[in-house]
Amino acid sequence: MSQRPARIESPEVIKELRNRFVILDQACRSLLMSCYADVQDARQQLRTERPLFWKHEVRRREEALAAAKQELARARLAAERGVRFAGVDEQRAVERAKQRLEEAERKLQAVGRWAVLLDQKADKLLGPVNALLILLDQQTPQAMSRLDLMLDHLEEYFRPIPGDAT
Amino acid sequence: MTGSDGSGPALIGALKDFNAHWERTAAVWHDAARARFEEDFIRELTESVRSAANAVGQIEVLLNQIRRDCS
Repeated sequence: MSQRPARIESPEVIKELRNRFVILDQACRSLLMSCYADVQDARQQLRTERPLFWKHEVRRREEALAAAKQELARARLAAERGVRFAGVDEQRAVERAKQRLEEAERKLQAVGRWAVLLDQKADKLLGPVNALLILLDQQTPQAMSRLDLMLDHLEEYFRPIPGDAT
Repeated sequence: MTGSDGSGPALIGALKDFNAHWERTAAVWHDAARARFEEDFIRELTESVRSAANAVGQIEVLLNQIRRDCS
């Protein structure tokens, strides 16, 4: 505390600053915790739900491709027996099934790659987030104490002297 | 995967609100205690919030990229 006289017009200034400090502290904590939760959620999903989903999709799409190929083979067989060849749609269905299978395989690979990359990158990126949370833990109580002390002194200073009509 | 879109700008917004109020106090509070409060708390907090907001923004970009690649 300065030993020189305080140049402040009212304790309300400090009260309002204290409120604003608390609001900033809470806003930061809320946003940072939300960011943490999103990273944790993404990590968890990349380790469990996403690989399972895309493995299942690969199997499902392999089966779909096999079924499409069977349909094409049937159409070709029918053409050999003299039935009008109607394999164009079946050929397209095979191509679509192949593309869908390739997509699922790419996604499955991407999930594995991102699971490793996210761990590496998130730890680095969460550094400043951690630093701010630590700073808030340390400094918000100190700032509150300082402002509370000032408020005590100011309220004493501004308290009307009994019998002083001025 | 849920999104945290806009947390970086929201952090900067909260900081701007606080700093705007801090600047307004200068008109009615101007002594060594104010300068010391700024030195001890406001400056480091401002830098730290900016740095965290930048990191949060990068995390959001990363998570969006993961969502696109893995969904």
